[in-house]
Amino acid sequence: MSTTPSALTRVLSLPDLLEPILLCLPPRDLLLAQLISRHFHSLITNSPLIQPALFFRPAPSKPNTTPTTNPLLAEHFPHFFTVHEDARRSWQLPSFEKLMRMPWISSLQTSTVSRTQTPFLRREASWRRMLLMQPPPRDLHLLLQACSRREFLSTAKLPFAESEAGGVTMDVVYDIVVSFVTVEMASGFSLIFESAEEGTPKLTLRLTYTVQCIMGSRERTRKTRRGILESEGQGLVYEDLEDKWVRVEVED
Amino acid sequence: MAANAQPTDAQPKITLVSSDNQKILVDRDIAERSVLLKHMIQDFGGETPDQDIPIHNVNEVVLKKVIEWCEHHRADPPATAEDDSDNRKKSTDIEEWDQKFMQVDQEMLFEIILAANYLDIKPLLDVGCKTVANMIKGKSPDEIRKTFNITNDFTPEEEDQIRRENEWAEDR
Repeated sequence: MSTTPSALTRVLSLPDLLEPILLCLPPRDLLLAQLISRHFHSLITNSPLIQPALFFRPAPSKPNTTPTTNPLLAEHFPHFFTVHEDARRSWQLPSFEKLMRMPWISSLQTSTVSRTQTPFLRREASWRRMLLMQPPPRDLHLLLQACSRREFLSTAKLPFAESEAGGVTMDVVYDIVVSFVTVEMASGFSLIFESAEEGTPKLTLRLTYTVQCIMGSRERTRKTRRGILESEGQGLVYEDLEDKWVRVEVED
Repeated sequence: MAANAQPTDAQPKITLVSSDNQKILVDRDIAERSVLLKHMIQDFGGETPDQDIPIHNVNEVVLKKVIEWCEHHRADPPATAEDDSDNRKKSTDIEEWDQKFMQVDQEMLFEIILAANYLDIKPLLDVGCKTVANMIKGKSPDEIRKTFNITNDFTPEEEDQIRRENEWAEDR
């Protein structure tokens, strides 16, 4: 009798019982539970229920459900998830300066911390693989807005349905935004979520900048900013998008 | 402590036999909180069975504890499919009575989870899972291993790799 494993051991070793226990956890604890043991790690990375709960895989879309924003991303990347009521007031949008105040970037400016020491900026950091919302938008719509005397608009659409995560992941959004606000002066960005009646929500990344006429200053700003924030060709960046933009006529 | 004032004498009774051969007499509606027992009783053609029903996997102490839970929750409406929605599952809120009920030693807690799983009592299984989840919440992997006596079987390289991927989430 005494040789039978304890109830504790039996419960924790049965995936059918450990899975519902893990699903009760808040996402942060669930993510970090991978570090407990091989058994925990393998269940979390393989479970078809846990992977969508962590926004690594698409959740099955149910009719009449409102999309859920990824709570971990919303907590750590607040500027990407703030809703901007009046989209025309582009000067209120998050900018380079705002991004620079985010904790992991500002730590880079004190030279003792290197890029690889900063957990957020590692290439393998798991937030990069996370979907922004469930059900995940399948395309990332881009809207480039130049403010000068006349307004110019360009749009582009990047498809993600065939990607590994099956939807728009944070790495692409983050890399495009950071490279954009680094290059363009007086620039800002916002994400616009629109839920669709049926199917997946629509996600638009809006990038705005002001056309500047001061010669040379753009290059200088670029250099200084790059010094603080190196883009190591992490993924798709703003500069890669050049051939994707479609010019849109705007009425006055 | 009876959950409702109805005289229980009027209820048809069923005799359960625990794995350690102890007979326990319960009201039929309480036994039917268990989907397993409900189906077994249905197999008797809807009549209240007069023969003993053996519960092979649950000993007397645990079975009595499970019956105590079923008695308190005898009037609960049956769980609907809607209740399975993610919102309810993720919340680790547990009603006060259930919290007190689950204040048992760790081995008993896991015995209750095994019994609820075997007897197919979904709401009790949920309470058990939430209780364990609450013991994990906010703890470091090392503290969790200590709490549940789990061996860290990663190689240092594997552990380092997983930590590097997820360290960003460690700070609150």
